[in-house]
Amino acid sequence: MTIGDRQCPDDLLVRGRRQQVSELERRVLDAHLGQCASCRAASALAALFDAVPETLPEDGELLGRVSSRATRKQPIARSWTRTVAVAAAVVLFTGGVAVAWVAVGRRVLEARPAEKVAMAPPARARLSHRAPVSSREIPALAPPVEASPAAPASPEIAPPVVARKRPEPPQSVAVPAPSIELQPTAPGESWPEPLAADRMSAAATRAETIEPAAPRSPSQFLALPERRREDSRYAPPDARSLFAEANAVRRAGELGRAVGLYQRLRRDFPGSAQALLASVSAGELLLRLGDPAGAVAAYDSYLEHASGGALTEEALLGRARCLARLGRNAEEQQTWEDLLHRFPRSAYQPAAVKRLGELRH
Amino acid sequence: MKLVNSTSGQGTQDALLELARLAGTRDRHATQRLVQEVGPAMLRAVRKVLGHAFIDVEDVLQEAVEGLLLALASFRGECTVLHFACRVAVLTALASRRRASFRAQWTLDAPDAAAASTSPEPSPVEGLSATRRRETLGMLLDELPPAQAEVLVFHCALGFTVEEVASAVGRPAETVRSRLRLAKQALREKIEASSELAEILELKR
Repeated sequence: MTIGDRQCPDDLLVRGRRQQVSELERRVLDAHLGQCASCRAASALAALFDAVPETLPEDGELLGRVSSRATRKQPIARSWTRTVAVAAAVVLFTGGVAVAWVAVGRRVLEARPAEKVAMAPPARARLSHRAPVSSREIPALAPPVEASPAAPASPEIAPPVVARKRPEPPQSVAVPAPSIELQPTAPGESWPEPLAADRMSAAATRAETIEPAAPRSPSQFLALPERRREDSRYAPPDARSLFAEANAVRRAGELGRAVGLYQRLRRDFPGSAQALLASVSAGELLLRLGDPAGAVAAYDSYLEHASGGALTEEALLGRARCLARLGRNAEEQQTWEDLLHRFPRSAYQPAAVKRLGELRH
Repeated sequence: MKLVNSTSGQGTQDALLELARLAGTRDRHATQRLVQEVGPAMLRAVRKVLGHAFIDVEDVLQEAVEGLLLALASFRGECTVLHFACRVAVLTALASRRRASFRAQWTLDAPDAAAASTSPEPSPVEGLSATRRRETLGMLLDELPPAQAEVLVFHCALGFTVEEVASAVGRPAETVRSRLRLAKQALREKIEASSELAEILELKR
């Protein structure tokens, strides 16, 4: 331990970084840094932190999106009532099932006593001799799996998409705020926002690097990966799991694949809430991937099918940005005006007003 | 260098406190205004911890804001709302860093923050150097105990004095000073054990 460890002028170091020290204090500071390796290390670390830019041009838009999503959350006061309601429903349902099970079982046994007697001895005999039990021996209890090779497997045994096992991350860090799941399952809940503009362009480049054959046209995105189609064990997922997979892929930066999954969700589950949300996400990603026309179509799909939906603000914002990219100024202006008219207190209001000012001059 | 100054929150403390109370009940307008007030500082804290090229900055900030809104219900006003918000942001970002680091060890397709960097690098050599610095920074933070990493981020990244850190984390100043000393000591030991680290941090012995 060096000499300065117990009496390091930590606050002087901070004031030194703020340029709030006198000449004398500066000399004291320099002298301390000369003999305290710990403070030199801390200063070097601080210099690394300082290299990170304080603000970026798109910060306003990013904060607007975060604010917009935060204000859309359900009031906390209702959460406990919802929990109680769900718990009560589970108890009632379980009780009902148990009663029904007993009632039906009793009725069956009373109605078919001969069958019960006929089935019991062979089953006991097999178990007592530890003979292998096959589905052919007791067809009434286990349906033959071999007879229906095309039957889809359960989602639980579908092959994983990633090459290696993805374990759950550790939750040991004490964060005062609980971890929030950012993958919603229904409109009205929070929505995993597409990536910010600067990150998305880089991530798109990276996606192309990883997947050089990634299709760029929206129609091509509909094609499923060959590996999964050829796999006989592959079972079509439901809308919720497909949506979660698409979000995970998007977060991993594989934007082309994410768009494909969102498009597939819209195609395979057209009436689901997830398909509606997927329209907005697909629009955002298509815009980032350089397909504003495809993005407009996706946003229009949402605005058409989700009248007054939770993501209408985002859809209008995205649509306006796509139209700006396409140079369709009149439609863009109309979209901004529509946004302001429908959401006068929108978080995107400053951006809309600014852009409208530019368009009108 | 623009550091977070504790006095920045003092002048508007009362206004933010009232706003925070309303936002804690999920009043839509108050929530929006609170995010406008503390959002930039929270974003800055998240970005300092994760690096500006980290692909999930927005998601982590969202998580932090949601965490703040939930925590406001039990906020006792022992520090400024701004400091409280910064603390939530720092802890959320540190937890996210650790999760990402853990995932990266087990998956082939984990997002690579360095590869996703959007800032135009002046040259390949400088770009490599910047990448190594970012990786080093992350590694150092990940290896520290969470309580020490927290005070180190407040002190070194956000420029809080010891008293300000104590106010933000709700611990006595002496405890903060002790954690800070241990964190710096661990940092120094890592540097002394690795000439490469010393070179990256430009602390050649």
